[in-house]
Amino acid sequence: MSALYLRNRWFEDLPVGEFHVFGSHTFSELEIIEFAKLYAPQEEFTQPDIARDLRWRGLVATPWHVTAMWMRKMVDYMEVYAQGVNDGRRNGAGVGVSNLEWFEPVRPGHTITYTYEIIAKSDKVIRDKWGIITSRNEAFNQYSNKVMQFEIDILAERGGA
Amino acid sequence: MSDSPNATISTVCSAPLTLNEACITEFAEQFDPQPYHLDKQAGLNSIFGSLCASGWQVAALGTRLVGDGLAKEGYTFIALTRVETLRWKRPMFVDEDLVAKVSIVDMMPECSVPECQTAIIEADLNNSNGECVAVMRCHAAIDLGDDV
Repeated sequence: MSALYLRNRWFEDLPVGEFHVFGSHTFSELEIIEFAKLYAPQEEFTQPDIARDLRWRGLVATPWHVTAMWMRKMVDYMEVYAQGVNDGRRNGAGVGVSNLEWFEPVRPGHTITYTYEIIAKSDKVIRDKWGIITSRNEAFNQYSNKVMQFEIDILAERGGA
Repeated sequence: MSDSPNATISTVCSAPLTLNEACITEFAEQFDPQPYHLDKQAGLNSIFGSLCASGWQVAALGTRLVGDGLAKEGYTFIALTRVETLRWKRPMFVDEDLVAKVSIVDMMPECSVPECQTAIIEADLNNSNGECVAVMRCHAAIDLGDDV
């Protein structure tokens, strides 16, 4: 196979500066409430009628909901390129997040677009076979306002070339 | 509620919360559909060695526990505004408890959430064996309440 599909590539094949738009998601009132009931039961995230009179003047998505959707968008996007690699073999675990910030609330009906850019590759070798890819990830709403950003270190299997 | 905007607390522990298999796979189906979060056999064959929760589920659950811990001290937690660092230390497996050990290391009057101040939090998220699953340093919006 000549083509290098995203998930078929080794650590060594991934260039700093590579950029992807993972896709968009429109948050519904129902899913905002369902998520918050389990993870953030404050009225601001679970009770639309009460939230209207609270600090954000309306229901908003809990911050981790906005971030968790980044993961879903990444998985879906990468699956398109998986080409049969579905065991996660070269697509390792996340090890850490830094500088995660939420800038403005996401409300029902807002459409959030998620982007990813590789910003660094560490020389460190983990358990003899994993390298660390650092990416900057951003999320924008339908007005092109940034609602979230973070950096994440994800393991990628070494051994190509 | 504390009188002083500079009040810090050393450490408070939340009550534990458990994730059963259905909780883990439901979250994964919606947000992190990778084999080791969805399927027992795939979990056994994976880098983690068993079916385990998405790291984002641990983060969200841990944040709820941080809120519970702060409530014990009389602080009304609204939301995180920033996570300086989050490190996943080990997987969270089926039916394991999670407990948050929470410290407020500083308070700041300014906050991006209306009617709130900011608490700088350090939290250890531990399983029932006392092993650290994740550690987080974050900024929490705390309702000003009657202090205003």
